[in-house]
Amino acid sequence: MPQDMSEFSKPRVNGKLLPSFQGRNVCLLGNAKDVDSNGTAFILSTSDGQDVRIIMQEPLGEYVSGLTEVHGSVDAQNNIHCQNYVAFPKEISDTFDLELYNNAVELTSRFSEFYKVGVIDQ
Amino acid sequence: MWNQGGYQDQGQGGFSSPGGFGTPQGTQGDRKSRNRAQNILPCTTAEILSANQNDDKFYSGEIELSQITIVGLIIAVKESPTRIDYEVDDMTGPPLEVKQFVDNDESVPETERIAALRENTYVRVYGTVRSFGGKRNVTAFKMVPVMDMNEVTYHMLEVTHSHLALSKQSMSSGAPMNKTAADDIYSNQDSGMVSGLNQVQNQVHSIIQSNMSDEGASIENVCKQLGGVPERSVREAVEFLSSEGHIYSTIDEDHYKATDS
Repeated sequence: MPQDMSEFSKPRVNGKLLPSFQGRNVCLLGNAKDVDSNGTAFILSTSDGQDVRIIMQEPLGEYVSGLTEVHGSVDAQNNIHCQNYVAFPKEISDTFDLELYNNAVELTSRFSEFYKVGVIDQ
Repeated sequence: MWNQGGYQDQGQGGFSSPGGFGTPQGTQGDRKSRNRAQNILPCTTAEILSANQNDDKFYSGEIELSQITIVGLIIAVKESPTRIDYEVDDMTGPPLEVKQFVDNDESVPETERIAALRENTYVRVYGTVRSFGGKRNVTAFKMVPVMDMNEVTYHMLEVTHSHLALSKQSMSSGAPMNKTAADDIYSNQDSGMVSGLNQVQNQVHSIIQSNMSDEGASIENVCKQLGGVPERSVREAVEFLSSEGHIYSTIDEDHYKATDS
């Protein structure tokens, strides 16, 4: 029975790719900053230098900064409603090559026949 | 023990010279178990979960999925004395079940036990694709915590590169074959007209061969023409070429002519 697995995938995106994923789940890796006073939202600076608003379901229990990965759905205003996030320690944040990651995101997005995402189950 | 990150495990005896292919075609039934698992393929969980199953072999298009490596986020962990069960998510599809068999019984000292990795951390998995009760999973023989997130970037690129290389190879030969990392080294090298020689040896042989004088080329001459190559390397090459019969000395040990000039 063919099964479309794309509803389970969270393709890695950057600022440029984000608008084409409105209404879908994505994975956004970037640098966190500007946590608002309630801890209910923050800004994620994407690998291609765009600022995306991350809206939390529950207030953040910790202060996020540096390399952070957000999983969530994209709304019509290109904000992300966060379902899960991974905060990375400074050592990992400091060594991460964001520009190279951006290239990899665009490359794998372009060559989906080689980097398979959410393919149909046979 | 296992090749980490390479496309070919060259540990299998008898099948391949460094320039050969990983999995020979047309093998006998009784050698079946030894012919499998000659490569580790970097892939995505979507690819593993979508693969077609034929007997106990899995195929993603033309590529056989046997030993694989993925990089993903641990979503769930369940420990028991003989097994650690993980769910790993690399964003390409639903979480993949990854089982790691361990010996963590109470009788085993704590320092020798395999520690379970934590949820919401990135991990690199090396394992084999299996199916159990109709459900696809990976049996891991090694799980390594990701300490540098560039490994995620690296994996994305390696998956893309390996699949592109495999599809090219498959197209040119018309039969599915697993590319070896060694193929790159041997196909890219300019081997000149004599096979079995490395680059320096070939260059030295060429220079000696093109010398038409009676006494042949001098070592000094060869060094000058090769520029950056140290004299010791030239002399080593000359010694090899001489022992193989490609060149012979003339007036003294510093002058050589080629046997096939």
